[in-house]
Amino acid sequence: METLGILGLFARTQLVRSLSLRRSWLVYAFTLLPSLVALVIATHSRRNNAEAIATNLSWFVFLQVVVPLVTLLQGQAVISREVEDRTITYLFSRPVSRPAMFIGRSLGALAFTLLLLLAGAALLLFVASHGSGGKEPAPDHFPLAPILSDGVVLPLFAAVALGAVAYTLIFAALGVFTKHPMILGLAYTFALEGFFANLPGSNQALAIQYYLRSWIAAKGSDAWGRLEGVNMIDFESPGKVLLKIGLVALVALALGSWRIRRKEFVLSA
Amino acid sequence: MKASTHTEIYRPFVGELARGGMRWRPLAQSTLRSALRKKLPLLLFAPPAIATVIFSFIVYAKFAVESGSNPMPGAQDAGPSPIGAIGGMAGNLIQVREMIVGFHMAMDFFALLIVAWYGSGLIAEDVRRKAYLLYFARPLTRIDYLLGKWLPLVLLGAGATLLPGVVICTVAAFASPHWSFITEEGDTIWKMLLYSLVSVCVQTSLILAVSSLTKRKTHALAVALGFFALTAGLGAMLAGMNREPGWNMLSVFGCLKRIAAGLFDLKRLGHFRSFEWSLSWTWIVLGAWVVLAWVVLFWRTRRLEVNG
Amino acid sequence: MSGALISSQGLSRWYGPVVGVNDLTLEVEGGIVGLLGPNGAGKSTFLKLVAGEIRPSRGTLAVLGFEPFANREYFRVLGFCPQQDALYEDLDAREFVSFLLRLSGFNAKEARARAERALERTGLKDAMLRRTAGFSKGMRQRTKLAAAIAHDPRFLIVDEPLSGLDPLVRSEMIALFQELGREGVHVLISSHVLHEIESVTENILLLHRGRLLAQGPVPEIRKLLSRYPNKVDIRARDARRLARALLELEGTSSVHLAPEGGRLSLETFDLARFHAELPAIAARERAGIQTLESTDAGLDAVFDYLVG
Repeated sequence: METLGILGLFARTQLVRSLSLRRSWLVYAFTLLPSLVALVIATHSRRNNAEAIATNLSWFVFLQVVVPLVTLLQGQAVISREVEDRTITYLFSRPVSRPAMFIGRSLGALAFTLLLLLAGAALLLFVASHGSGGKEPAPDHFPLAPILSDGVVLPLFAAVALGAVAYTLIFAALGVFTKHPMILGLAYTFALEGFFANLPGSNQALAIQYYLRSWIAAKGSDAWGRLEGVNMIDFESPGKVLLKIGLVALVALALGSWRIRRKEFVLSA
Repeated sequence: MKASTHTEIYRPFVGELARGGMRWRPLAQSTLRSALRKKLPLLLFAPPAIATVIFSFIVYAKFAVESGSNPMPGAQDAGPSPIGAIGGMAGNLIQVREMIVGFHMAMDFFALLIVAWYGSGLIAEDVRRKAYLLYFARPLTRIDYLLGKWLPLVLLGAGATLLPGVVICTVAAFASPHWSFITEEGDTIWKMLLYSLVSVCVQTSLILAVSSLTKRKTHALAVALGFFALTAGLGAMLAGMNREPGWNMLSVFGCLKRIAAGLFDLKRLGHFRSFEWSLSWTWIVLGAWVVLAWVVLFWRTRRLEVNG
Repeated sequence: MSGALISSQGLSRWYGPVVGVNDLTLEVEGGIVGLLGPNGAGKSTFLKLVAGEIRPSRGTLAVLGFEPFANREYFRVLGFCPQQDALYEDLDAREFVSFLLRLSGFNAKEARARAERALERTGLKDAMLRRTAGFSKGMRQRTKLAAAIAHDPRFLIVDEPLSGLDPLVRSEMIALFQELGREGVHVLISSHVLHEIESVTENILLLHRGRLLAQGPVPEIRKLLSRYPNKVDIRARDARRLARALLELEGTSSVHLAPEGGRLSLETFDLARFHAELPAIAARERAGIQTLESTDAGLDAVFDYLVG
């Protein structure tokens, strides 16, 4: 019970502190950016309708850049920010279970990234829904985006949630294992993921993006099908996507908890 | 308390204090020294170095075959030499000029990595550790401070683009029969230098501006790389959505490619996509990014000078 | 396991090729203990080992019967005030201390009450609701100390608690340590400001180059340094006459008379005999002793003899 209490305390504290604008202005800025771009396109472009704007921005910008960046900034900060700020000493000289601390903070970071990214995705869809390309709006399907179909909205929300879970916990674990989680996270996000996701065959499974694409490809409407990279063969089924993402999350938590138990953080004077 | 003097310990200063001069120089030297102190990040220079060696060799082999000489003397009886085969292939490949352009486009990415790694903490860490208090307690102007930070970064970025380009051009010049590379394609050299400088100056200005906006090197790194990735992605996406290639101007790398196309006249070369948007506008957009970066730098440095 | 506060056997810790502490074998009984040593002596490493931040590379260490590293039971009775100034800048002092108390197992109400009491004790009653981002060095120090004592630890470790503090705050902190000592809390204070340690305790641990150089009460350590004669300063009406008499005393190695008269400095290898016979000599010679001072019995001198 004590461990659960500590876990909850860390999760709550991490979430509440992350919500502060002063602390997290950068992630707020990243999350808002696609919506700003959508606003510009929706108000100026006659060529593109709501679905085209929503799917393009979601696929190329939100899922492939914003989700990894935001989760990286939040996930790697779970431990490494404390080390960088030299406040880890306070936590490690208290009678708390280190794994509970790590898991609690990771879950707090995850709660924040989920909230933020889902809100960001909702805002993006809302703004994109005002782009009609000169056509009549389609019947109302979803409260936030009256002219976007469920085949756009729900798959996007699910893909964002899956991405947030996987990335946040992977980067949180990375922060325990290495002194430079940001560099490795950026290398994984912008170099390795792109490389693996575009390889044919089983190498794609090494990229989280592959599973997000699989979900979109399986659950998304035809609106997604026009995007480059969606209509590829050998995607995973939704059930396997859920299973593998869940596995990745659990393994990341387990590895991070195992490593932090014996990790020394030597702060220079 | 009894008064005492200790003139026997100190000797009076003889000479004149230097006035004016390049006050940024010591700062630049120490910035470079600090940057090069850690050995592991020097691995970032490995891919450009390896690529330089490979390209230089291919260029050398091409010219060696063109001139009819065996690039591997002493191996005449061994049948067709491997070098001859490579040279033959190279001779059929794209021209040296195209190779240099392609090389620089590839090296731009590594230059970005190098500049981002070394540059993202230059101002951010000064702010975080309050080292700027030391700098601005000296007679150091904002320009001195910024030059002291920017010039070493330019030098490091040039290590990935300009220097390899110079090496390849030198090899080409010496290997070409009758100095044909200089006489027939000499403009490639100054165009290569210009392109490299533009590329490095743009990237370093932007990275340094990002560094001045945050207090953490990690954040600056994320923002810097995120900026390049986002603008590239957005540019390509909008160009595709609107079927207007001009949207590629949003991306810094898109602009650089257009400038390279303009400088080296790539439209006429069949292996590259044609670039259908205005070169002038590309220069304007790129210039606007640089101006914005330096405005941000001056603004942020002013805050450091005044507010502490 | 012995009943000592700190007990180590062959304790060593290195960081790559750099040795932090080297083969420390010691037993420290309770009370207030000063940890001394020049820069690079290994004080911080030893403190980190005792505070459970790092593991020994070799040897054993027990504190209050616990192996310190990552030991939750040990952390329940430990209060640690680190050297670095870092606090959670977005919290106020009360929130900061309360949060740490919650981690120690107190509920929210109890944590808040304890935090307020601790902050009041360290003189931050009026500032406890201010964000720590705006705190001065002294206020930060007091906040850290409040966090370290709020949960009534049995053993308090403070690393350089007085550095950067003004004299008023220093005397308040010293008084607090003495008070804690009277309450039965064991305190280990690391410092290189010798006179301040002297004002708190005469029990010291002296490290140098990673090794234990001396431990125990300062006067006892001084007695062990028999190769250094004890120095005594005496002011007397007839210093010259007294000096003549003292020269004949067994154990006296030298006597210096001050040029201005009225003062002499004596060195003796037998301080006990000197103190035993001085009254009789002074009375016989009618020297008129005004002041008598052992100039090298203090920590400064002991430190110099051992380290210098």
